[in-house]
Amino acid sequence: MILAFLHRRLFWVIGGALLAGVSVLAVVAPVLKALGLIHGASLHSWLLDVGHHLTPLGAAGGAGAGAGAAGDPYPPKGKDPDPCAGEERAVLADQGNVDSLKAYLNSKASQINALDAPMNQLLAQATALAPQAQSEVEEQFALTAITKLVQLMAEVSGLGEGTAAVSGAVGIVGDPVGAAVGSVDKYGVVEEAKFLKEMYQYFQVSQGNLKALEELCKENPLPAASQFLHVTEELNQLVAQGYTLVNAMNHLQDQLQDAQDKLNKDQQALAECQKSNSGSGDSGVGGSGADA
Amino acid sequence: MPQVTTTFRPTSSGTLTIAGHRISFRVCLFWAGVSFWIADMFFSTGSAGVAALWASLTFLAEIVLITSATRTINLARVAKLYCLGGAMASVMWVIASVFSIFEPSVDAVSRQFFVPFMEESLKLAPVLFILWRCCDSRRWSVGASDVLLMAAASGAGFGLVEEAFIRIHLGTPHALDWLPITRVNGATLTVGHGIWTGLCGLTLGLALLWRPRRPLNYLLAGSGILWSILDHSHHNYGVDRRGLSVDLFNFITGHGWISLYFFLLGAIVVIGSDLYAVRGMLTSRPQLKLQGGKPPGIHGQGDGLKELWNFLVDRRALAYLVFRCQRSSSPTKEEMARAAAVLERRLLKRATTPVLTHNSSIVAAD
Repeated sequence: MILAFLHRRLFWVIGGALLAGVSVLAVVAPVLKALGLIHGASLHSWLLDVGHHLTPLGAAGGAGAGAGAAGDPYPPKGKDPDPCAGEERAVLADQGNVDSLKAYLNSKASQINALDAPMNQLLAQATALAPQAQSEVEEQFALTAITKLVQLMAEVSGLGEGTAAVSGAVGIVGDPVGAAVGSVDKYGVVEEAKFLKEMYQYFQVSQGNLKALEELCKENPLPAASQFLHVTEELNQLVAQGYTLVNAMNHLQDQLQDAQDKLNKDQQALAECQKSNSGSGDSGVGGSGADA
Repeated sequence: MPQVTTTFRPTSSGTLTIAGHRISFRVCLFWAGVSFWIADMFFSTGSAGVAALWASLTFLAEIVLITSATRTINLARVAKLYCLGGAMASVMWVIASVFSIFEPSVDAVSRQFFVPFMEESLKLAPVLFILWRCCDSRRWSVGASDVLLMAAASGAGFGLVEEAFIRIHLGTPHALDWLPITRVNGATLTVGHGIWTGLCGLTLGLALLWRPRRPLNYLLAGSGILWSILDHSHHNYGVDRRGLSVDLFNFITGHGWISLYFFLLGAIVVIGSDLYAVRGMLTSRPQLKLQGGKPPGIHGQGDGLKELWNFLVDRRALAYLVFRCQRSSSPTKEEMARAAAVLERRLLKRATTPVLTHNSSIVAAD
């Protein structure tokens, strides 16, 4: 019975914990004892306690410090405030918004671009496997599903090389933010991303047939059809990814249009302000105010 | 949209005319308040006050100097924090007086723990208030060095008058070379209010800059103040006491020396972190590098040092903003990205438009 207890994990855990506790005490206790022998009391004899040291008069000085904190150590520099500073800041903020939205669009376009190579590869594989798969199956729905898919692939591939069609239509791939400034219309053709849209719609509509084909492949030895189906599933996943990205780009495009409209409006307001205040001093932005 | 602030300063209004010179009311308020504060201390403590002021300002000047390559806050802000620290000392005096009504003995154990907790909290309060009060875009562009500097200023201001009174009662202390606010008593080192609050500030600054995951961020941010409270309590609790508890305190805090090592190590990490952020930003934005020691775009046009300094400060602010943006998640990340875009625009505009006045600011540094 004792031997059985020794084999239990709990015994070793408790034993280990006790041993660790004793070991720590064995190390710390002599150190503390030694410290106590050297200096049982602290070597200083004064408190760091504001209430203990300060007199009421000394504490009253804090009111001056508080007043000082409410003020400014040096006078403001420069001349009268720029009458168009508010308009300038608004324009600057709008430009910043437009810049960042374009950067997001570029980022999404790059992600779509990254789908290009694997998608083309899968398209080629599916096209190559399609005749064999068609020869293997006899059921009408399976033949229809494969035939439709092959037709669609041939159709949409005509738009361009896979997703390159999308990014080309969108016109932002590789376009740095700075170069694309002010060219919102470049982003106005996201809906032309037919490839992803049509493929996505096809997969949505044909889900039933593809599922049935999958069941068929499970029940019967259809190697080419199985492989075709596998490639199709991978393609489906990539298409879904791309479709999500296109949707995100559409949303960003709307935001960009709004931001661009606001920028135009604020630029006009700035121009009017500068015109009405011409000759009343220069304007500018910036100035962190940090000094050396 | 990032919050855009306006910092117009009164020029024609809010001024006082003294001997024919028009001076801003706020400037008068600052100098009158500070004069009263310092004069009151000199009146109460005499030459000890002068020595305490010298030690305090020397410490502050050292921190300003070592953070000069990384800070984005200006000296006016540092001066304000110093004053706020001084004001907090008076608030603490009131709190301690109220506490004394309930516990008159200065040797009471409760007082030895209550006072350090309150003092460390009050010293850090102005820094937290300023960080909370400023707009998001400014808070995101603050470097760890800025928080360290603000905290050190608040702590040094807090300890100024108390140090003067301690000097008048106990004489001139032995201090470490280069750190005149410290006090060496045999084996014990008291690092002083400036360094304790500096420790609070540097861990807070590092947590705000690096933005580690929860709960590590809270642990890092709070570790400085927890340690400072511990070391401060060790100091006060150990006065005229002996026994195991005092030994344990001395053991844990290394007789107060560990605080000094933490502070020095922390300051190096803070400055290193800020420089790392700036370097990372310049790698991705080479157009913001200096050209021939001048901001890009105005090379050879003889613009002044002030313009260069303003450019560098804004560039640092952008670096800290971008650094935080990379470590954030939506929707804060998007807000930060927009604020960064605005700041970058401003920097590039500054670089390509050499003649600018500085009446206003976006993402104001002050």
